[in-house]
Amino acid sequence: MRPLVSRRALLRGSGGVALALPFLDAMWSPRSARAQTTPPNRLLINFTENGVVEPSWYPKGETKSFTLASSMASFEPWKSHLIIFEGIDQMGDGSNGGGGHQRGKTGCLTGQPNLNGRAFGISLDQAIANEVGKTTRFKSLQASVFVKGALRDGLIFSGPQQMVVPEDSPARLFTQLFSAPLPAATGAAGPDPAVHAQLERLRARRKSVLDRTLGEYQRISATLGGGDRSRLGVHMDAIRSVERGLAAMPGGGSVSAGCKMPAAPTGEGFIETGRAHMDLLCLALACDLSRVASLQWRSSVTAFPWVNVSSDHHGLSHQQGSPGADAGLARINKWFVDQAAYFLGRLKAFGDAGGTTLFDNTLFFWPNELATGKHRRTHAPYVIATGNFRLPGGKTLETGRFLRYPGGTPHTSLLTSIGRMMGLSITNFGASQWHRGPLPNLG
Amino acid sequence: MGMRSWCSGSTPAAGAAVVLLLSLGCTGEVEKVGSSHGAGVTPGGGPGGGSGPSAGPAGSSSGGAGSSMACQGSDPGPSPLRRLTRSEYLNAVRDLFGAPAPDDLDLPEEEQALGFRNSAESRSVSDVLAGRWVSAAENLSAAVVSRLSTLLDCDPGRDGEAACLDRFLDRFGKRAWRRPLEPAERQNLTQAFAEGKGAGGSFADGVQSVIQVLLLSPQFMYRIEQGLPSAAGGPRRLGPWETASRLSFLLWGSMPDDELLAAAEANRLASPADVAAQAERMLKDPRAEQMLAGFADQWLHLEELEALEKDPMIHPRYEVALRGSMRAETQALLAEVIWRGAAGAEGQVATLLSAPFSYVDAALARYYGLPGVSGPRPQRVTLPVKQRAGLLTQAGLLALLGVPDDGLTSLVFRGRFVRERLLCQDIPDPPAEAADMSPPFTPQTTAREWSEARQKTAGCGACHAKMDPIGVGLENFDGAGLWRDQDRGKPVDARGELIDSDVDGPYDGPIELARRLAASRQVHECVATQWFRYATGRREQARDSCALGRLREAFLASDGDIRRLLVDFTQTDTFLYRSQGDQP
Repeated sequence: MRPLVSRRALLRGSGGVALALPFLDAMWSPRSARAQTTPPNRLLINFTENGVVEPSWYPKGETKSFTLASSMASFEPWKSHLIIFEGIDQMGDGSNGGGGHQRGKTGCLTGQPNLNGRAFGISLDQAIANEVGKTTRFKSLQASVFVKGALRDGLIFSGPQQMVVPEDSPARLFTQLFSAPLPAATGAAGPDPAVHAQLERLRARRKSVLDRTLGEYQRISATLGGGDRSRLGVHMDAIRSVERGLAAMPGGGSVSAGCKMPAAPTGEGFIETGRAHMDLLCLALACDLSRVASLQWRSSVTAFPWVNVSSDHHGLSHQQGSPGADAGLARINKWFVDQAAYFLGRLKAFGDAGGTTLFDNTLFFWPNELATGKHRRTHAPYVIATGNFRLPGGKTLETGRFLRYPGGTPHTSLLTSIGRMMGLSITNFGASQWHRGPLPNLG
Repeated sequence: MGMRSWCSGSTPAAGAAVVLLLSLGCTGEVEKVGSSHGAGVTPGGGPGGGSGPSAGPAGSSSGGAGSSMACQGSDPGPSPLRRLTRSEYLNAVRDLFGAPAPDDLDLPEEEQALGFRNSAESRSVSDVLAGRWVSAAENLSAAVVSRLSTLLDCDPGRDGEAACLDRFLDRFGKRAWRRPLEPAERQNLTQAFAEGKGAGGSFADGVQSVIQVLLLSPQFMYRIEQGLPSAAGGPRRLGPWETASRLSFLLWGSMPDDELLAAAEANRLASPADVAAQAERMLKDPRAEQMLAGFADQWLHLEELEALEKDPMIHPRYEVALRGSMRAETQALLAEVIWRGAAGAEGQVATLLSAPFSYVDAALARYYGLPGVSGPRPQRVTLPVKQRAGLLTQAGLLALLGVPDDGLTSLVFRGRFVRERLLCQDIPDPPAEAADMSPPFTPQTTAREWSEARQKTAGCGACHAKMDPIGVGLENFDGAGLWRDQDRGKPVDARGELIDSDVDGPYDGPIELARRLAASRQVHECVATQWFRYATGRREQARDSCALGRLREAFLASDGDIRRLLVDFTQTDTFLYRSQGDQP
C-alpha cells in the first residue's frame, strides 16, 4: 500500500492546508482595539523531585533577615522576591509505589490520597485554571522534562483519577502554542487583510467541524449509561476547549509587546529540553495564551554529568547521608536553583500592562515530591517567588521572607493559601483529613 | 523500565496492581477469580452448561470451540465504553483509507494498567489529546482528498454533488462508523459538507470537512455498544454491527473488513457458530498475527526493549543495536510456535517456556556465542542444553529485567515478572521505607547472599520469599542476559524453590525452572487470564468467574493452544453480551 502523503510533504506541495502547523509570524487580532487593563495574575509551577539536602538548602537567620544557603547561591539577586518555607509536611496517602514517590507526587498539588498513582481529586493548578482560564486560548499548559512515557505517578489532575498528561516535547508544545495565530500586543494594529482572510477561512472550517462533531457526541451520549456518558462528557469538554482556542481573544487580557513567535525549539538533552520549555511557557504567559502553566522536571533516571554527577538522581538520592552522595545531590539542587533563576529572569524580561513586568504578576511556586532523598515527606521544601503580586484584597504579597512552621503543618494549608492568592474563594483545599485552613502569616 | 518501577520515582508501573493493596501484604489474599490454585471463586462457578442467558440465543450450538462456553445465568461482566487505542486508531485509518497513515500524526501512547495499554478505564482525555486528534483528522482529511477519486465511485460533475455525497456517506460513512448511518447523522454530515464547501469551494473542500467529522466523532473514536433489547435486567446480546466491531478489534486491532460488514448486514453473526466461523477466517489474515504480537509485546513487556540501555562499564558486550534482535527473537519464537506449528507434543505454552531451540539473527547469535548464523533474519538454532530453554532464558527478557545496580536485585525483578505475568499473582509495591530496611551489603556480597539476608528481614521476607527464590534460578544470567558461572568471584548457586503454585518444590537452575513452569496448570490458566484482560480491557472480577473458568478449562484441554484461545474467547458470554446494568 502506498502510504498517505505526510503533512510535511503535503505542505511542501500546496501551502497552507493544515491548520495544525505553526502559522508564519502573523500577528492577528479580531479586535483591533483591545482595552488596556490591569494585568491578570498568573500561576507558574516549577516541580522537581527527590527532595533536597537540607543543610545546603535552608537559609540561616530570621524571617526578614537571612542568608541563603549554598544551593541557593543563584537566588541572591532574587532574594527580596522570595518566600522560602521550612517545616511544612507534604501530605499524601494511598498507593505507595516507589517508596513514597507515588504518595509524594500525587499528593503534591492535590492534597489527596491516590490509587495507583492517580489522585482522588483535582490539583490546585487545575482548580485555579478552571476559574482564571475561562477566557484564554488554553485553560492551562503542562510541560515536562523527561517524563518519557513514565506515567506511573501523576502530578496534575483535572478531577478524581483524571491525570493530565504533560507535554514532554518542546517541539510539540511549540506546535500546540502556535497552531493558531498569536494575538497582537495590546494596543497594536491588526495584520494584513489577505492573511487575515485566509486565517478566517481555516478557522471557520475548524469551527464548523468541531460544532458538527459535538453534535454527534451529544446524540450518542444520550443513548449511553451513566459511566459511559460521563466518559464522553469529559471528551466533549476537551473538544470545547479546543474550540475555545479558535475564538477571538476576549478582552481583559494583557499581551506583552514581547509576544512574538520564536524559532522552533531543537535539541533533545535534559538541559535543552528544560530551557526550551521555560522559554515557551514564559512566552505563552506573556501572550496571554494561558494564565496557568507548569513545568515538571522528572530527573529521577537522569545523570547530571554537567555538575559532575554520573549516577542517576534517584539512585543517588537513596544514598543521601553519605558525604559523597550529599555533595552530588547538593550540586543537583543548586543546578535546579540556577534553572529557576533563569525562569524568573525570563518572566522579568516581558513587559506587562500598566508598566509592570510578567514577573510582577506571576506567582512562581516550586514544590518537591519529597523532603529529602531518604524519601521522607515531612519538613518538605517549598519556595514562592514573585515581583509585586497583587492579592485579591488589593494588597501586595510581601516577599523577601523565610517562613518557618512548626511540625505538623500540612502542605494543604499552603495550597489553600495559593488558591486564595489566585482568587479562589476557598477555606481549604485537598482531602478533609488535612484541612487546617490557609497558612498563617503568609499573605 | 517497568519492572524496576518501584525503585525509581518516575517510571511506569508494569503489572501494577489495580486493586488497592494498601493493607494487603504478601500474606494477605487478593481477590482472585476462578483460578484453581488461587483463593476465591472456584472455576466454572456457574451451574454449568448448555443454554446462555435467557434473553439470547447463546448455547450449545457453539461453533468450533469444542465445548460450550456459555454459562447459565452468568453475566458478561462490566462492559465499559472503549476508545480506540493509538494502534487501533492507526490500523483503522490504514484499513479505512487503504493506505498507511502518515508517520507524523503525533498521537501519544497510552498509559499502562495491568501491564497493558488498552485499559478501558484509565484512559483520560485532556485538552492536549483532543487537540492532537483534531490535528490528526485535519491532516488525514487533507491527505485523503488529494487522492479523492480512489474513495468515490461517482463523479460529482456528472452525477451531481448531492447524489455523489449520498453515495459517499453510504459506502465510506458505513465503513468509518462500522454501521450504516442514521438519518440525523446523514443530515449533520451533509451540513458539515455544505459548511466545508462554503461559498465558491469545491466538492473536495466539503468532503474534507465530512471526513474530519467522521474521524472525530464518537462513532469512530469509540466502540459504541447498545446491545439488542432483552428481558428486564438480563444481559443484552450485541447487535450484528457491534459484534462485527468486537471481532475485528479483538482479532485484528482494527475495523471490520468488507466481508465482516456484509455478514453483519445479512445478520450472519447471530449465532456463536457464525461468530466462530468468522473468527476462524480472520485468524488466517496477517492482521491477526500482528495483533497477537502486540499482545505479547505488552504481556511480556517487550516494548521496553526499545529503550534498553546498559552501562558499558558493566556490560561491555551489550549494544543498543541488539534491542531489535532481542525483540525479534522472542517474537519469532511466539510466531513459530503459535502460527507455524513449531510446538512440541506438550503444547504451545509449554513449548514457549521450555523450547530447546530459538530463533536468532547473526548479531544475537554472536552475542550468545552460537555459530553458523548469518544475516539479519532470525534463524532456528539449537540452544545449549544446560543453559537455555524457552522465553525466560532469552537475552531480551533477561536484560530488560536485569537491573543496573550491579545485578544485586535482578532476581527480584525476574521473580516478580514470573509471579505477575506468568502466574497472575500480584505482588504489592514495597513499603515506603523499603530502602532503609534492606540488609547491609559489601562489594563482595552476591545477589543470592543479599537476597537470603533480605528474606530473613522482618517486613521484607513475606514478599521476597515469593519473588527471590524464583529469580535466583536465573542468576546464571547477568544483567544483560549473558551466561555467567560466577558472581563477584563466587560460583553462582542457582538453586531455588517454588512456593504458592501448583508446581511447588525445590529446583536447580534455569532449565529445571523453565520445565517446571512449562508443566504448570496455573501458568496455563494465567495465559488465558492475561488474554481475557487484554481482550476486555479490564481486570477480571467475581462476575466473570464462570466465563473465565470455561475459557481456562478449554485452554487446558487444548494443551495451551493459543489460536484456539482466541476463537474460544469469542464464544464466551463476556464477548457475545453486554450487561444491561451499563445501559441508561
